[in-house]
Amino acid sequence: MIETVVSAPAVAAVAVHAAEQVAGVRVQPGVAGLVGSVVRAARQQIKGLQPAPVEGVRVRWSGTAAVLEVDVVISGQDQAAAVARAVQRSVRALVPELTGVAVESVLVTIVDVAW
Amino acid sequence: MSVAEAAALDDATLVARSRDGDVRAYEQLVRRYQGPMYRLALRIVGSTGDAEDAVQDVFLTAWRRLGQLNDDAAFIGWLYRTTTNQCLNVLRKRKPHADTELDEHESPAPRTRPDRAVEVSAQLDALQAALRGLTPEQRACWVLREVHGRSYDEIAEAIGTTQQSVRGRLARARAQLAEVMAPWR
Amino acid sequence: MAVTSDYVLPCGRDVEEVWEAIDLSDEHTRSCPHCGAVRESLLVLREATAEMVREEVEPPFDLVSRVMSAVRADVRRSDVVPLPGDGLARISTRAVAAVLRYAADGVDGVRARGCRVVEAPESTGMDPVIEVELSIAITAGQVTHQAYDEVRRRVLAAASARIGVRLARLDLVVSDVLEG
Repeated sequence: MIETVVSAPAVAAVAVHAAEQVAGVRVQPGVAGLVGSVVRAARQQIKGLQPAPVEGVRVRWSGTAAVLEVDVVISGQDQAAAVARAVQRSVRALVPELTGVAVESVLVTIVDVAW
Repeated sequence: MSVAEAAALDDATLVARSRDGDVRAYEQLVRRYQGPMYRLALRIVGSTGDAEDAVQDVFLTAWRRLGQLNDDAAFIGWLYRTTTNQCLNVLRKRKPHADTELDEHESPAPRTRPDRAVEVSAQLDALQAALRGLTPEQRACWVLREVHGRSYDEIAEAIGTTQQSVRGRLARARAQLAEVMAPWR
Repeated sequence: MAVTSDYVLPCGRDVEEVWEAIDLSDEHTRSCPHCGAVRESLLVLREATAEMVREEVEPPFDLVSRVMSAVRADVRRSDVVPLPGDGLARISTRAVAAVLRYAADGVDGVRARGCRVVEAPESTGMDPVIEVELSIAITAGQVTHQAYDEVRRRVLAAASARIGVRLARLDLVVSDVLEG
């Protein structure tokens, strides 16, 4: 499914979904009060995904490609560096696949570790 | 530090303070260089929306990367190179028939001083149109050299090539532009 | 220096040569129709270029405020530590502190109190390095010098295995002694 124009909230919702595919990852705004979303939570139905609130994800544009920032909380035993890389891979794969939007870069910030 | 004091500080000092996290110092840097960077971006990418996005991105990235800067005096050169790079990426990603996307991104017409609004000459218009006929790299080389006065060394680094290649592209750009401007002789 | 042969005029000169001699008055240019025409075009180009240099297109009035909002909202550089790689992954110092405190807590008789984490001067994006000051409370009678070694080992291991950064310096401060 590729739309002619894909909005930022749609991209953000997919980015959240992608990030949370990685074990132990939950998307959350930064502890310093960083408000991640450029566009307020707008609900989008994409391929049957439950719409996700988009705080914790910032979407900017470089031409037609998305420049993404994701703030996450991790739990579990996996090494933070490895989890961050896994989130990047997941987002890089799923955003183009589900929205047709190319991803230029994904900045992952681990804001907290939970048990 | 008052705004007036900050405005009188030289670049290297503002950079050093910004590096320490001084947000007001960084704001002065942004105010000082938003004009040149925007004009550079606009002349390379040709659309106000893309130029705005590129410049905003560059200044945010610059803030984050300040910690990696070794030499405070190198900041401005870094700004030029990064802006150029960003713009070339935008152009490379543009699909061939990008007209609709340009319309969506377009902001209201670029601000010029009111008394000059009517004076944009046909000649300048022709030059702007002629620039669009160049390849992105040729355009970047020419704008950086002829409009912004950057050195060959800097341009080579910005584009990611050799000085020899920069001179070659510049020559080709100049010849092509001259040909297009010929009717205005 | 003849830089390119793509734009050689019928007379043998190339455009760049004409450009370099544009303000000189030489015999050839005065008599050659090709060079003369090119020189005229280049003069027009130069004039139009000067106009472009003078052109005062300004960015949107709110560009600065938008940049500064993002800058202020951005987590302060001192609040995050890079994770090894391309510079696009990082972890808050608060999260690192939580992990290291948890590691220290694993040692009998030791309770982690404060944990200050800073990025070391020698840290790079490819090889992030941290310096840590960890204050602990110990239970009198339960803790020997081996316990401190154990705390160090666990904290070092956690930095590597749980986070993925190098710990260059660990200052242990006993800030409290609890009744055994």
